Amino acid sequence: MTGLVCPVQTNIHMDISAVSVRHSARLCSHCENQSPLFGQWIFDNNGQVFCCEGCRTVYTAINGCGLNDYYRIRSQQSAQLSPALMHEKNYHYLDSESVIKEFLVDEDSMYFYVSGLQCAACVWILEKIPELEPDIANVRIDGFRKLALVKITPKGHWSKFAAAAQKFGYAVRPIRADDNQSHLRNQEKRDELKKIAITAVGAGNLMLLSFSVYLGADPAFAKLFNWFSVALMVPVLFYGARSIFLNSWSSLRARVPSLDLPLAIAIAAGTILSVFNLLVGKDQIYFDSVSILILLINSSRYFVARLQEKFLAHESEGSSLLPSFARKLSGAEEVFVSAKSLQAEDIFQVLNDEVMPADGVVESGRGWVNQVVLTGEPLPKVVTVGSEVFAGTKLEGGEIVVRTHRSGRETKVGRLQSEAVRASLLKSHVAKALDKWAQKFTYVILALGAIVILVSIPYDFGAGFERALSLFIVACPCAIAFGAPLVYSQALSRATELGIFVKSADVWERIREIKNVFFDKTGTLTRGELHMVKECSTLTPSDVRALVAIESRSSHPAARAIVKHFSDRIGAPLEVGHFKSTPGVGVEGEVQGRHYKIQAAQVKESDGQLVISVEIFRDGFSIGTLEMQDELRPESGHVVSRMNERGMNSYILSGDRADNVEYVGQRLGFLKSQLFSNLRPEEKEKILSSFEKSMMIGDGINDSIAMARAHLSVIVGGSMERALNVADVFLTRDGLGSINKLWMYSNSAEKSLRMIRNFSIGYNTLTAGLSVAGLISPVLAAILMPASSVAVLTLSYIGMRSVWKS
Amino acid sequence: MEIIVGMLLISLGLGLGFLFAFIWANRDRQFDDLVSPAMRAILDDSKYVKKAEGEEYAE
Repeated sequence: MTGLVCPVQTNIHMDISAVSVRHSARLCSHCENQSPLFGQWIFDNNGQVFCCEGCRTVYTAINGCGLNDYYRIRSQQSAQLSPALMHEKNYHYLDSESVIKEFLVDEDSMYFYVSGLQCAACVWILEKIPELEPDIANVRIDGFRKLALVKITPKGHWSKFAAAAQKFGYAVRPIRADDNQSHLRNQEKRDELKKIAITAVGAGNLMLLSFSVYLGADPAFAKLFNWFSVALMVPVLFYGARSIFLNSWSSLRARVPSLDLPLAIAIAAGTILSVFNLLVGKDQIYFDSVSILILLINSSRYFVARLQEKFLAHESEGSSLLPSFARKLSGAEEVFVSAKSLQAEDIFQVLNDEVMPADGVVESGRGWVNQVVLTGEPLPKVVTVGSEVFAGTKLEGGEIVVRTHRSGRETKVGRLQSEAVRASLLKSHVAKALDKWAQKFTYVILALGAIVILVSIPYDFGAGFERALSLFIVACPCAIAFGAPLVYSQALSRATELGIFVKSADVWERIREIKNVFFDKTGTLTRGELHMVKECSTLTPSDVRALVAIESRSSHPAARAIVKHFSDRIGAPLEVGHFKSTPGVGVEGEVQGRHYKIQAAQVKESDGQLVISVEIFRDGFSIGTLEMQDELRPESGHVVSRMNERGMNSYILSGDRADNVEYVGQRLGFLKSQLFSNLRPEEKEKILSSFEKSMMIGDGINDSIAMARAHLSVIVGGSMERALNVADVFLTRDGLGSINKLWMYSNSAEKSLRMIRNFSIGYNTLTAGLSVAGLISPVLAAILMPASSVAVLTLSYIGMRSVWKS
Repeated sequence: MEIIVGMLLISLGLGLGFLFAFIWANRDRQFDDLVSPAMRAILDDSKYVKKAEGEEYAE
């Protein structure tokens, strides 16, 4: 299951599990979640239980199609499913000509990004869709990139695939083949593999030929074999080693010697000397060693690149914050167009639970808009005629019609994203300590080799050349070139196991340089969701059940908080009649013959902290109020104090109001001078960039510009696809708490690298001395070179022991 | 000695044969996705009965 990663468990979900394990040992039949998601188990007629309506629907759909094997296959996998929350999406836009045109890769094929794809069972069930859905000709899943290549029948509808996938609990979105970076990456990967294959075939046969010569072939045959070797060397040298030569050439032109330079010199010199010896009739032919050297270099680079790709694979696709389509209104007619094709002044409609496709002004209608992606504010805001709405924000209740102002890249969120990309390109590359050291070493070796050759000219040029050649091969600091990636990739894979995703290896170096730490408040230091703080005693058990029944149909954060709070006190689900949700006012419904209305009473302050209260009416009479607030994460205090112990200065950068920020700051021991509130994303960046070596820890888009400017950026929670686009590190499972691990791993990595460096300084100095003294022949040097790599490998494991044990 | 020449030729032939097979497979994008083929391999279809005419799926 290496390429696929288990879903991020949200806090809401984990908290409930903790509660209900005490009460029952039930498992959701679909997702195996241990507790009901909205407070109540849902039962079906066949004795199955479900944690939510979504899981029930998916389970019924899977069984109804006779695809029961899905659960058997999944039980053999280590994957864990997340509850199939109902994301009832309308895929009719996929049937609109104008949308299809943009996404088709072939006449009948389209790529879809599949979210929720995790294990073999997912691959199995999605590839079964053509058997169930006559419109779909073929589905091929790429589990690594989480893509589905879908082919339809001549008269088929694309929406049928999306609807079928949705039925089984997967959300899909079409993606364009051309803005699909991984196509390019795959081309590179194929070229690399071809290079390795050609080098390997060349090197293998060269070894056989040279064995025959060493083992005493007749002189005539030996000569034939050697010339034959020359022929085999041609592709190895000009195809296999081409990038080594090109890199060295460009490093020479830039006057910065790269690690490739001594390798290139050794390869070139070894080949030239061998050909020269062959011409003058000497025995010293090094084609086999040279080709093995090239093979080793190419394959180690390939594996390191694949390791890195594994961590980047989730980054590119499906990460856009904009929805794929818009409901454009032309006249009285509603047509689906892709969100990017909206023009200024176009009118579009947005329904409940849909994401705004463009920036604009509300023309008609009323609704709640959750702007958390832009402002970090977790509570939905009421919008009415004339209000401004922004692309990427989500309508949570109501329906609105909007006149477009800006679309695509011009939208606020689009500009934030492109700004983030630009700023991350500006980020200065940290010169790696080892590379610097290796560079200096390269100079020394090159100079030493030149001296050896110069000195030998008056005496014996051939012997001198041979000594210099052994020197280049044996003293090449390439063991260090794999040493660093080896150590860092161990730290990376251990971190990944613990749910910490690190985008690139140099994070381990950068983290030690951090002096200032900036925390975002909402969703980082706090949970970013409401939590019940005051419950009223006047509610009877049947009121509570009615309340949960009604609120579980609303997606408002306050409703979620209520359902979560009462989740352990209710029995069988209750029917809700006449359910109605009025944006800005509240929800109402009838339960067991009584009319309940839950109304947002007010937003007030207590102790300077924002408290949301709702009032509950039964048959028109108020029966009590409930109060909720955004709670601190339990681990925040510990994390902040550890940062201070490490001698770093911590600050809070928040878009929230000053009093809220001060309240949180006080509880975590921040000074007033360390708190910044009421900030727009651009202002966050400005403050952050006035400090040196700063680290931004936040939850997403509203601090993405600041993140790109920061020396190191960390995202806590949210979607991984988006997180790794913006930040260097993404913390999932344990939230903020696991951030301390970063320092621990980084220290272990540094320790191992120091060990490797000391070893290779000693080893290279010794062998360099021996080669200059003529005690190491080029053949012996070529044998010693991989031996030193093995030593480096062993050292890196020894150094990283503590990381694996943690 | 001739036997060695023969063996060398055979080994070269084998090497080239596999090289071309590999290049062909590689160009056919067989190595692009190394994750899902491994998944497909463990799935057997024998137990899958497509539910027809509304009959119940029996385990």
